[in-house]
Amino acid sequence: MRPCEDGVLVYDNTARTTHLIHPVVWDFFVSLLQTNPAVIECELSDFKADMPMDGHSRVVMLNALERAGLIMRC
Amino acid sequence: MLRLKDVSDADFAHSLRCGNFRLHIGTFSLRIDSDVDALRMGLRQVYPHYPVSLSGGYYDFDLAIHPASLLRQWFRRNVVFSLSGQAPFLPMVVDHAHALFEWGLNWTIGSSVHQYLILHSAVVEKHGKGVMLSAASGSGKSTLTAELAMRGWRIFSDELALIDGAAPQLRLIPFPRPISLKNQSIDLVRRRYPEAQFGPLAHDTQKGTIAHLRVPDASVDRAIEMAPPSLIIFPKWTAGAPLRVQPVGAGQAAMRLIDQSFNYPVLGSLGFSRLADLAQSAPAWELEYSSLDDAVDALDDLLADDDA
Repeated sequence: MRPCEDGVLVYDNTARTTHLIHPVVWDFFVSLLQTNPAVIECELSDFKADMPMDGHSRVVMLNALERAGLIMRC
Repeated sequence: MLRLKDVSDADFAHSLRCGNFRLHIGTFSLRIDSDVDALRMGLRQVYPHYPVSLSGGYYDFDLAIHPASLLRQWFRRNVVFSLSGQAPFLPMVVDHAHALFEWGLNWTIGSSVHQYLILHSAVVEKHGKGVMLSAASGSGKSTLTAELAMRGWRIFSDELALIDGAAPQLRLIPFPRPISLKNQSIDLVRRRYPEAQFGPLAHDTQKGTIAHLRVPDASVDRAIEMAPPSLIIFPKWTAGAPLRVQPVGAGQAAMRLIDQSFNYPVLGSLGFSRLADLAQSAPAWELEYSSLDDAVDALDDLLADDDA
């Protein structure tokens, strides 16, 4: 993980993909780690992104945020 | 040190046919095996100043260009490129033998040299500072590189940025080879620099007409001198456009470089680490231009700003 002025670069070692996450969204990601699923669903709806109720699917979450234009991935 | 220009035609042809010819480019040594006259003549035109050996010796890559078959040696003549006996591409007409060699060598490096992070980017150097020109094909990258070469900038590559994967400091590795120019760019460089020396023209390739511009001898002489990356430029030639120089954030720059990488996925977390180091250490700029003079002035200004 590398913080830059225009976002946070994150390398996913499992999927071997790289993400550039907007700083605001990064803060949101960090908050997810300490938040219960109901709150997660509520916050994601603010981003107009779909999210399963369990709130534990990392891939689905990334896809949703990518569709919403909040992260870049390659 | 024996250079190709010092070798007689007969000795050169014999060494190529026997598989004893070695071409040394920077830190790489190539074994080249060929009985194709068109390749020999092309190498003569664009590699005269390079160190060579005619009597075998160590090599990193085993390259060959031969007629695709006995029949094709005489009828509808075409040739095939091979690396260590494997032919990754379809045969091409014999007149494209030199272009095929250059493309095959690019492919060889891009698919094999995983001790380096390899990006699709030209690299030039001035005053000890490495400048990467990263862009997709058709953006004018090679034309700008040719312009810089003719103005005395040192050429590391017009195609492949090699970044040391293990050294504590970021270093760009020179791999100076002829600059591949297409279509109108060939005439443009010829008009601006009548003294420019080109290899054979390859007509009707998938990219149109291709010719390779010989790099200045000074770049060959200094081919083992590395340089730190100081600037990342994303050039874009647009007809009639005014000069536009715009900063690119490190995160965005990293993502754009990944898109132009040959082996980033192969390197895993090491590649990420090197790429993030690169994006965070060298400021990145988007450079849109229609005038080569304006573009070079802008690069000079950006390098001067980097000094300040």
